[in-house]
Order: sequence, then structure tokens, then C-alpha cells
Amino acid sequence: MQKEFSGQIHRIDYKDVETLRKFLNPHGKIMPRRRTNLSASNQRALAEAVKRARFMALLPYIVR
Amino acid sequence: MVETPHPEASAEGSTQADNKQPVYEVGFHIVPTVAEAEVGGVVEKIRALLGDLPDGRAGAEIIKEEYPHKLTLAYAIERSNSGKREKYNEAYFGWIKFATDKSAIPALQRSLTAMREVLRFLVVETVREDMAKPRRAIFTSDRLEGETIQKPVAAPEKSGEVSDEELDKSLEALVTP
Repeated sequence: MQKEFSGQIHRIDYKDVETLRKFLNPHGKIMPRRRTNLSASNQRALAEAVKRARFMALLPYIVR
Repeated sequence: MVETPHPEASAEGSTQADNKQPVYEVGFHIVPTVAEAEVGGVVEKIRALLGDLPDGRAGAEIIKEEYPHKLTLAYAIERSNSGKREKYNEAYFGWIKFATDKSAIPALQRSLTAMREVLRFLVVETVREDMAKPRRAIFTSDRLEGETIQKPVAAPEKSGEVSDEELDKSLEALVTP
């Protein structure tokens, strides 16, 4: 998937925590599509990447 | 956690025309109890797992890798070590991208699970191209460069005493339109 993502051409990767954080709310939840303005396929890729990053403890599951 | 490759994901690897092997990436956490100098040895062990398969076929082709660096985990990872609980708040995170036969992956996952130095790992199907975000040049300012508009300089005022006559004159000049 090579599409415009946050204004730049690159792929969505679970290791790119810095970028993924932009799509999380302060509680660590994934923002909805109406907030992220991503295409359906990119939103799915984002959700996948965030879940991978959470499993690898690069991102938190919850922020209290 | 076992990542099952998505049917679409294999179609994504467009540049695998030269060799049909799918590209995988293993990300792993090495326990922080391993000394900084010995991390290289653990990485070598993981690379050895990607080596020649037991049935004689050639091993994985390593495309790219990142040497593990220590990072603070987003949450504490707990695991039991012979009945004792171990809690880790930090780990060395590294990854290796490689191309290999699909059948070699379950064996790799089993071996990594058995490695005590590996706290957690994730094998994902990916593409040969770089995933890294291209860094754009940062321009510090978009302001127009040029001459600064100066404040008009007023005629220097005469210093010293002013006679009453002169004062009256200038006042008159100000009052009369």
C-alpha cells in the first residue's frame, strides 16, 4: 500500500510509533475515520499497525 | 502472537518478481538483563535461525536489519520463568527483514519462543521496499527575505536653550492651520 498518508508518500509501519501517535487520542484509542480523514484501506492498515505496535509494547493499550 | 499473512499482502510484494519468495520481517525484544556488549551475540543467534533449513534448502536472504537499541516499553511485560514472575519495563528492540520460503516461518517462530533472551517477537509479512518515512527537508522560515523597512528618521532636534521668541514662533506655526 503506497498512498498518501499524512501528506507524504510512504507505507504504514508498526515501528513508526511517532507517526502512529498522531492518530491516537489522549487515551491511546485509534481515532475514527471522520477524524483521521484516511481512506478505508489506509484506516485498516493504521488499525493493524497500531495493534501490532501495542502487542510489541511500543504503544500502550490504555492511557489512564 | 502469530500473524497470519493476509491474502492481499502477498500480492503487495510487487518487486518479488526476481525471486518468488515472500518477504517477512521479524521484530523482537531482547531482555534488558543481557549486557549491552552481548546483544550482538543474541542477534547472531537469531540470524542463525534464518540460516539454512534442516532439509538442505538455502536459508533466508537478509534484506535489511536494525541493530537492537534499548527503549522503555509502553507497558510492563510480565512472563513466568520456572514459576517465578519476571517483569520488564525496558528491552532492546531490533528487527530483521528477510525473504524466505513460507514453510520456514513456523520453525522460526518455535525457535524464537524457545529463546529465553527474546522477550517477545512478531513476524509479519511485508514488502521489499523501505517502509521508513522519507525525511523531508525542513525549512526554518517561509518569510520573504529582503530589505527591512526602516522607520523614517526624524530630523535631529537642536539641543540647547530655546529663546522665548523662537518658542512663540514655533507654537504659532503649530496653532495656525
